[in-house]
Amino acid sequence: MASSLLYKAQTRWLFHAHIKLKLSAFWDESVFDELFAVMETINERYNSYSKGSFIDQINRQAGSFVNTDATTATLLKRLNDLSDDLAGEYDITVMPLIRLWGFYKTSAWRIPSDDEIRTALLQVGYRRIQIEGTKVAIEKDQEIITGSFVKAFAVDEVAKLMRAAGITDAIINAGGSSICALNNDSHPYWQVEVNDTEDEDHTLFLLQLANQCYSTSSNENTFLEIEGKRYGHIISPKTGYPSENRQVGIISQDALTGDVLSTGLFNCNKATFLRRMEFLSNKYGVEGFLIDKSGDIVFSRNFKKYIIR
Amino acid sequence: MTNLKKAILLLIGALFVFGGKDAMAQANKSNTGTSGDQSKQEKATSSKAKAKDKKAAETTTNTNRKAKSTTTVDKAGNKSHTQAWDSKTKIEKDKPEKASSTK
Repeated sequence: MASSLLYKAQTRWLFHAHIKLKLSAFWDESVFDELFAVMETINERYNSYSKGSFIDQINRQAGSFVNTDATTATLLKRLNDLSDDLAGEYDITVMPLIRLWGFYKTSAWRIPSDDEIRTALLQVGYRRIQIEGTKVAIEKDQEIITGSFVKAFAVDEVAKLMRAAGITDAIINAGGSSICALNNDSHPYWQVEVNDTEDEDHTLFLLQLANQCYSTSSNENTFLEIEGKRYGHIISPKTGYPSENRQVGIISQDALTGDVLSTGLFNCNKATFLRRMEFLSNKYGVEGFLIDKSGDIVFSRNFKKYIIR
Repeated sequence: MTNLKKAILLLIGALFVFGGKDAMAQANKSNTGTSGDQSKQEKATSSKAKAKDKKAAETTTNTNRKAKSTTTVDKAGNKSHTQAWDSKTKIEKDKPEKASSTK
């Protein structure tokens, strides 16, 4: 049950999404400027869509090493490790496939031929990203897309900043897909409502989180319709085809891990999802669920303990 | 200045130092530009976001444009541009946050 506590909240537009910060009403609202400034800095430096960012430089100079910074190198290594954990079902160099399917076109969408998909797949491969100290290079024709993780990275940095500043009762909601709860003894839980992507008025369940994050992936808001069929934007870097699953939700200790795992696991079938979750739960303490294209739902071993309704 | 504000400014400063402003400037200098303008591509993204979301997004973007930029300098001498936004602060109760996938 929700408490009677009061909070201050601000929502701003960053990373192509509404970012909401909500913290105890005790805090002066000038804090919002400082917290959002951290997100702006991350957007400027690490978003592939921000002209001049480190990732933009790596993409523009594909084939050559680019001097970046310690954060970029550490972040890319961490993402590669997570890709390994997902057996390659998550890959930040998937951009050629996303372009091929027409997600950056405004018209003339069509289903790519098998040959086109095979050619695009040759350009995809996170293992070919070279990281030497703070120098990073991708191969010519490769391209890194940060959409699946940069927002979550910013959420984690803001959460760290909040904790360091003594803000211990707050929630960050980044576009609905990355939610981070900060709790203290006075307010031990935040609730998160998970809805059916096929019917947004239907609540699937209410989760209770304590100093944890919730990440979700679906094709709810970003898809193409080609010849009457819907194709989602999450494309398997292994097959080259969009996943037909409906939804994945992950509870994790940090937003970045949750966001990456939810994206990669979205490309799995139910059996593979459950098998991978056994390993990932042990390694990262994560729990999750998957709803496949026919609406069947599977849960990891301990996910249901977070469901309160 | 309150202790909290000082702490936050120092932490933002630390992020800038950690991030390596010089490295970014150097990377920008050596940019040869071969892969096109990604910001234009982002605008052309064919995401079929629902109309109400688009409207909300436009409203927020317009609000954001009113932001005034101010420059702060941390102890290490790094300049950061902090925007003073017009965004309104709402008072909210403890209520469930809605999850929804945007990625």
